[in-house]
Amino acid sequence: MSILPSGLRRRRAPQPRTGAAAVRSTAPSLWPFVLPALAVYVVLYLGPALFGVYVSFMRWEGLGSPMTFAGLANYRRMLADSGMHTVLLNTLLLMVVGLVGIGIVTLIAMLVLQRMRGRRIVRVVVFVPYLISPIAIGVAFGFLLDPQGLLNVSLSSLGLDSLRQSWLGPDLVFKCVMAAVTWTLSGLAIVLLLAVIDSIPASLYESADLAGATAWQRLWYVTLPMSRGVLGVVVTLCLIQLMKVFDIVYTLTGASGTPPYSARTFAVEQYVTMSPFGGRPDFGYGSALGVAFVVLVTILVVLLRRLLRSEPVEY
Amino acid sequence: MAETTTAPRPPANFRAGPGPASRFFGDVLLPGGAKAVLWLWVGFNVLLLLWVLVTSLKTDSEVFDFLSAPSRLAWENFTRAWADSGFGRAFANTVVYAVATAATSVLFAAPAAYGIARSGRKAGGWLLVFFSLGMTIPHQIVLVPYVVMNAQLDTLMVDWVTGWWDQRIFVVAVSVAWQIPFSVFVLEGYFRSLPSELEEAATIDGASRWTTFREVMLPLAGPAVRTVFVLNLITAWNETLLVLVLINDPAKSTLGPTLLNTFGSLQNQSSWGVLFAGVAVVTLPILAVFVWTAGRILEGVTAGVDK
Repeated sequence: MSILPSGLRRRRAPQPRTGAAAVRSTAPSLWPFVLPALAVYVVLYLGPALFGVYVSFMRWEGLGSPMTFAGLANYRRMLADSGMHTVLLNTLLLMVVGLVGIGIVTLIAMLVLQRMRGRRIVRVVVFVPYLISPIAIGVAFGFLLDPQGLLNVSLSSLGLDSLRQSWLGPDLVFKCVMAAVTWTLSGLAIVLLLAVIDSIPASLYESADLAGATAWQRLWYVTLPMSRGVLGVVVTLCLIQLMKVFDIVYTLTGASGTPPYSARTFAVEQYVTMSPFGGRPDFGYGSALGVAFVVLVTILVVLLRRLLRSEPVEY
Repeated sequence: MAETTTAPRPPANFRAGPGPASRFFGDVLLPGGAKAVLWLWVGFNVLLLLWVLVTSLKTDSEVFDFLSAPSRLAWENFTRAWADSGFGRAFANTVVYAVATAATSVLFAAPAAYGIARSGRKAGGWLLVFFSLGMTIPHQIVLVPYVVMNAQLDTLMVDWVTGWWDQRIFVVAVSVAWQIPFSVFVLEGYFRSLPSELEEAATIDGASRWTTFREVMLPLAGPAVRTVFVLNLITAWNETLLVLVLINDPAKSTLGPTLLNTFGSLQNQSSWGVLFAGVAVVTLPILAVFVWTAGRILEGVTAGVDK
């Protein structure tokens, strides 16, 4: 039922049979502690999610208009819509390219960051983009990449006019989105992985040094095997963030009107369907998009968990 | 993880003392290149931030002279953004929204995390999985139901209950529900790592469960609670889609949608300086919080993973 990676599902240690058992055995009295949070979570999150599934089988143009049963019509429309194919492809491409990009950057960081001078500064500065509103990042990147923007002006002043591009044009804009997202999320991945790497016993690196290992060999034979357990968690977290990409697409495509299909992700497409841009909002279809999205993500996460499943390393 | 018991065994295919060529590659070229990439990255981030800050103090006509310094510091960008473009209102809304959301979610999550941490193995395990499920549900699926609930609640409260309602309350409530899974997940691990001797002492002294939690356990969990609070604060500060979908009145909006609106409407005008002042208003408070709590957030981010 759970699609959480193994690292997130913590194994519960056997309870020691000491005096602590007396405290722990009064489990029923603990319900008042749990119930308020449980109620809020179920009523405002799980419940609405189930209602979303229900609406996805309806034809509904929004509040005030009648809701009629539509069966699978919304899902059929999704499959038949050629724009939807672009959206799906974009979302998958973003996930794959994002994960690969983050992986490469993280590998580079893991190679040297551990022993590097100024590692604290690097760690903090690299993490900052993750903290900043994607809208703000989108605006800044918009000016950076504008046809008359900082990048093109800099290229010209360096005499590299041939490299000038219309970065935000329909052909390139989604590539820029992918680069920006990779840039944002890599900091998160690095910070998460480094914390785990710091807890790898120094003795392992000492014996690697004694054996004359190079930096690359230290990474390949010590760091990576030792951090395999948390890799699954980091990949899942990055994946969840990659699926949600919305704001940055909106700002990079101009923030007025609707983004072109070539740059739409699932989240953007759903927002467009639900808001009255050029026509009526379509809540049934919007919900169906949401459901399809959940199914897609579940499949991806389960596949990834299969791929990354690992025996815990004993040392 | 198990403690060190035996010396690590080098893998079978590990060859110590590689040839000079691969030693140059593995010890000089690769690490050197990697360091260069990292410092370039750091430089890019710092320069980008400086560029945004400098641009926010340029006059509108100077904004596109990227490579020149401002002729004078145009502080009026900030006053115009604050008053005319609604960033002042949005700032106040965002502060209230983010603090209310972060505080309420911790208020709900901390007792729940404690309860789960101290209940039996089976019930606790299931509850934790049940809560963690919420971290994996994409928000997309709940947006339509929220729009419906938002409108229904509005009618219900105004017509039948209080005669008054503010949709921002619903936005906060929903955000709290979004943040509970992560908060419970991180805090539960922390509460479970605390020794139960102190609780036992308090129980023997006749303190109730609730008193024990409030007087003994909560103070002990202070660092974790603060970390979760700050992380939730940052998440709420940057939330855009939810506010965009649920709040139609610009006067009640937060910074994200306001910045997006300003950006969209600026395509026709050219108050670029104001736009960059807006970016600074959105960015700087979060940077301040981050610098202020510095390493503690980074520790907190990893708390949920490194167990």
